[in-house]
Amino acid sequence: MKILHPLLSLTCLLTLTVPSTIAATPVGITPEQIKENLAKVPPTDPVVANPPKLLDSVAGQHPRVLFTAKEIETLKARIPTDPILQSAYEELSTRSKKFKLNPEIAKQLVTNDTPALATANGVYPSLAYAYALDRDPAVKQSIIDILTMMLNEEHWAATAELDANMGVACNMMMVAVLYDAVYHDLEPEFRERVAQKLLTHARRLFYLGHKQLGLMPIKYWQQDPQPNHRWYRARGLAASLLAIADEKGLETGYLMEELKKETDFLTKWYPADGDCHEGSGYQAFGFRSLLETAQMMDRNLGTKYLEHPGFKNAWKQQVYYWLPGSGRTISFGDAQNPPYPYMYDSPPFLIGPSLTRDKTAQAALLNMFWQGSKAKDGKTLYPWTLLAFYDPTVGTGDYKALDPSHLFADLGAASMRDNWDDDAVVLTFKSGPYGGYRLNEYRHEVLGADGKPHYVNLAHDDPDANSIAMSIAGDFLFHPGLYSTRKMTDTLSTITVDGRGQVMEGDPYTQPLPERDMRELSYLTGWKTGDKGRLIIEGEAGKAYSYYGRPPGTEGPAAKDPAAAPEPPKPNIFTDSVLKKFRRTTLWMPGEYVLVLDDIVADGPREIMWRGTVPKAAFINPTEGKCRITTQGGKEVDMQMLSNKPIQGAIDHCFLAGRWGNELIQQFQFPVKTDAVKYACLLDPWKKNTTMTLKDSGDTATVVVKGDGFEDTWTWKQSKDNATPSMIEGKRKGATLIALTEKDIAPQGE
Amino acid sequence: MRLFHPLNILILLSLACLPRPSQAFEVIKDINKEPVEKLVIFEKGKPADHLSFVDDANSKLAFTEDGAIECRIVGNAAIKPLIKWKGNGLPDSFKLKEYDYLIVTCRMEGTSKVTNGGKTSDQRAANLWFPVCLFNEAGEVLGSASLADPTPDKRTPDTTTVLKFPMAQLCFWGPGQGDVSAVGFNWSKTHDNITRDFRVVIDKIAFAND
Repeated sequence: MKILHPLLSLTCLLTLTVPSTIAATPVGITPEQIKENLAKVPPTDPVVANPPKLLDSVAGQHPRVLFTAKEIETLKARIPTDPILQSAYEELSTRSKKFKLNPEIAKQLVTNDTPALATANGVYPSLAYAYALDRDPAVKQSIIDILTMMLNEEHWAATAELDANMGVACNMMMVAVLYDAVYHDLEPEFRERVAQKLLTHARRLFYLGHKQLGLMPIKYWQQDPQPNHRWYRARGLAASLLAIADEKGLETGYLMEELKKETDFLTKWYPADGDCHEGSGYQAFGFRSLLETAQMMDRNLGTKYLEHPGFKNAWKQQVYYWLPGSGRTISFGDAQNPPYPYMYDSPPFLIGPSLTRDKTAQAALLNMFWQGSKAKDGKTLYPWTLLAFYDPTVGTGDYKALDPSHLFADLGAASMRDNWDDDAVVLTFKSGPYGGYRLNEYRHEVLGADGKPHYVNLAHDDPDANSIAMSIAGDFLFHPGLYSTRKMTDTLSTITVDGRGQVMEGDPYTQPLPERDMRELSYLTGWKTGDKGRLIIEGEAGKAYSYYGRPPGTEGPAAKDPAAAPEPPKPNIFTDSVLKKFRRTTLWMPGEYVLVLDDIVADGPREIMWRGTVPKAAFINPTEGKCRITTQGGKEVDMQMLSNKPIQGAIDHCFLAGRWGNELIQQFQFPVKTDAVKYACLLDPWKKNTTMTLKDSGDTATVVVKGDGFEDTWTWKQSKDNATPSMIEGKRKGATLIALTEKDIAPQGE
Repeated sequence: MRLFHPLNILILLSLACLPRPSQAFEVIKDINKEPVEKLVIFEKGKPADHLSFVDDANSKLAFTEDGAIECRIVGNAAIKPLIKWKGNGLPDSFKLKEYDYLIVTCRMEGTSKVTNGGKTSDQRAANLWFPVCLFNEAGEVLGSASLADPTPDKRTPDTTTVLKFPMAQLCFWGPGQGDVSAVGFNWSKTHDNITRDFRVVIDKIAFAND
C-alpha cells in the first residue's frame, strides 16, 4: 500500500491540525531547514519481497512490545511470592495512580534529549506495566493523555538533528509501548492516528538518521555499531515498528527488513563480554536499550539475539567496577565515578543471571540494588524496571562467593579485590586499545569508504594505557579519574614522557588514530592467577607514546596579529613512539601487598615521569623511598618507590576537570631523564609494614619484599620482546608464590 | 700504577656486573608546604591608590567603608569586571608561569531571583560557578576557576575565606602562557528568568610560590 494513501493523508492532516497550545517551537533549526530535512524522506519505501514477519503468536495481539499478556500473567503470579517484586509493584502502582500529565512536558521532550531520556525513557513507559498489571482506568487515561500530547507534536525531536536524535528515539519507544499497552482500549480512529504517527517517525528516523540523509553534518552515531546513541535509536525504531507491523494499511516491510539488518549488525559487533569501552557509567546508560531491542525482536520475530553472550556477561563490568564501601564506581573512561545511582537503567543487568541462572551473580547485583537504591530518607526505592528484569526464580546465592577478580579481555582490563565487603581493597588495571578489541575488529574488517580503517566513536575513552586505579573501603587511593572534559594521560596513574602523554590525548572527545591499528598501541601481555587470590597482570604500552596532530610547536592558538595574513592550517603529522617499551606488571598479593613494576625503554634520553594521582600525598622518608597516601576519608596507606636510576620526587597538584564537577587533588611524580629505567612501587594497604629492596643487574632485577611474617623474593626478568610476558617469579621460604612465565599470555579480545 | 692494567679492567668489569642497589629519590617539590606570598596586589586596610577598576552597571566595583573591594552584581547580563594595577612597586604585568598560586581572600553574598510560573524565589546553588580570572592587557582570559573549586566542600564561600588557586587549576582551560595585567571575574549571561543579586567582597589578592 502507498504510504500517502488519501485516507492516511487525511489522518495526517487531522493530526497536524489538532488544536494545541503547547506544541513546541523548534530549537536550533529553522523552518527552512525543517522543510529541507523532510524533503530528504522519500514519499514511499522500496517494496521488499520477503520482509520479516511477526510470529503467529503475536500477530494481531497486544501487548507484545515490552511484554505479552502471557508474560504479564507470569509476572502477576510471581509478584506475591517475592518481596522485591511486591515492593516494585506497589511503588509503581501507587505512583501510576497519582500520575498527572504536565502538559508543558511535551515541549521539553521534543526539544531536549535530557528530559526525553529521563521521562520518555525513564518514567512514562512504566505506565504500560502499571496498566497491564492493574487495568486501572485512571492509568489508561493517563496513557491516552500522553499519546494525545504526542500526537499534537509535529516533531518528536524539533532540534538540529530533526526527528533523528536520541530524544526522538526515547519518545518513539515511549509512545510505542504505551500504545501497545492500551491498544485494545483505544478508539479505532485514535489508534490509527497513533500508528500512522509512529510510522512517520520510524521513517524519519530511518532516513534522516540511519541513512544519514539529515542535514546536520556531524554523523556521530552512525559510523560504528557500539555507541549507545545508536542503540537508543534501534530501540525506538524496533518498538515503533513492532507495535504497528500488522496494522492494516501501513506498509512496514522495508523498514522491518532494515531493522532486522540493523539489529544483526549491532549484535554482530557486540563484545562477548558485554562490556563498554566508555566505562561502567556509559555501559549502564546504553545497555538497556540494546537489551530491550534484542528482547523485542526475539519476542515478536522469533530471532535469537538474546543468546549473544554479551547479554549474559554485561553485569560483570557493573559489579567489578563498583565499590561497596562508598557506593562509588572506580571506572575508566567517561565515568564521573560518583556513588552508584541505582535507577531504572540498573535492573536490566539482572538479565545476566536470568539467562544463566547464576545465583551468585544475582546476589551480587541485588547487593548493588540494596546498597544503592535509596531515597534521601534512606528508604529503599524499587525502580519499575525490576518488574521487567528481576527474575526471582533464579534464586539468590552469596555475593561474597563471587570471584574477587575478573579479566575483561575485550577491554584489556582487569579488576581485583580482596573481598566483597565494604572494607575491600580494590585495584583496577587497564592496558587495552582505545575502543576495545571488538570495535577495532570492526574498524579493520569493515573499511571506510576510502578503503582505510573505519571511523569509530571513541569519544569517551581515556589515554590510559598501563594505568592503575585503587581504592580502600570505598575511598580512592589512586583516583580513576572523572568524566574528563579534556582527556590527558598526565591526570592518570601511569607515565608521561617529556611531558607528553599517550597518542590522541588532549581532546574533550577522543578521536581514533587515523589509519593505524590501535591494537598495536597498548595491550595486555601477561595474566596469571594463583592460590589465595594472587594474580599477576601485565600490559605493554610502548607504542602509545607516538604522536599524531599538528606539528609540535604549532598546537596552541596562533599568535594574533591583525595585520598578518591568515596562516593555512598545518597538516597533521604522525611520529613514532618515543618509547621502545613500557611494560607494567602488577602483582596482586591480597592481604599482604601490591607491587607495581615498570620497565621502560626510550629511544634516547627522555624525561620519563611516573605519576600516581592520589587524594593526598606525603613524603615520609625519601631516602628510603617511603611515601604515604591519605584518602579523602582519612585512611592512610604507605607506599614505597624505588628505581634502578637516581630519580627525583615531587608532589604536585592534579586538577581533574569533570563534566559533572572538578576535583583538585595531588599527584606523586617521579621523574628521571634517561633512556631506560625501572620503577618498583610497593603498596601496603593491609598494613603489613612492608619494605622492599630492588637490585638490578641488566635484564634481571630482584625485588625483596619484607612484611609482618613474610619475606618474598621476586625475580623479575625483562621480556624478550614487546609481545611476550616478562618472567617474574615470587618465592617465600623457597616455595613459589606465583610465577608469570612466557606462556602466560593474556587474552586479547574474545 | 697503570690505569689500564688488566687486573684493574677486570675489577671494573666485575663491578659493572654487580647488581646495582635501588635508588630512592631526591625531593624537588612538595605542594603540601604553605605557599609563600610573593606579590600582593591588594590588601584591605592598605593603600590602594595603585588600583583601577573596569566595570559596568551590572558589576560595579568599589571600595567598602572598611577598605575591602566590593563587586556588586545585578541583572542577568554577562559581566567582566577587572581590577588593574600600576605602580606601588608592582610590575605592570608578569608572566603567568612566574607564580604557583593566585590567593584571593573573599566571600560572595547573595542569591539569584528566579521567576517561574509568575512566582519569584531566592535561590543559591552550592557552586555558583562564578569564576575568578586572570587577564592580559587585551582583556583576554588567561586563567579561570570557580570560587568553589579550591574549597573542601566545593561550595562558593559566603563567608570570608582564603582561596588558594593553584595555577595548574586556574590555567587548565587557558592558553597556559601570557602576561597577567589584571585580576577579575568573567560570568556568562544567565537565563532571562533569573536576576542576579550578589556582592563579592575581596579582602586580599596576592600571588604566591611554593
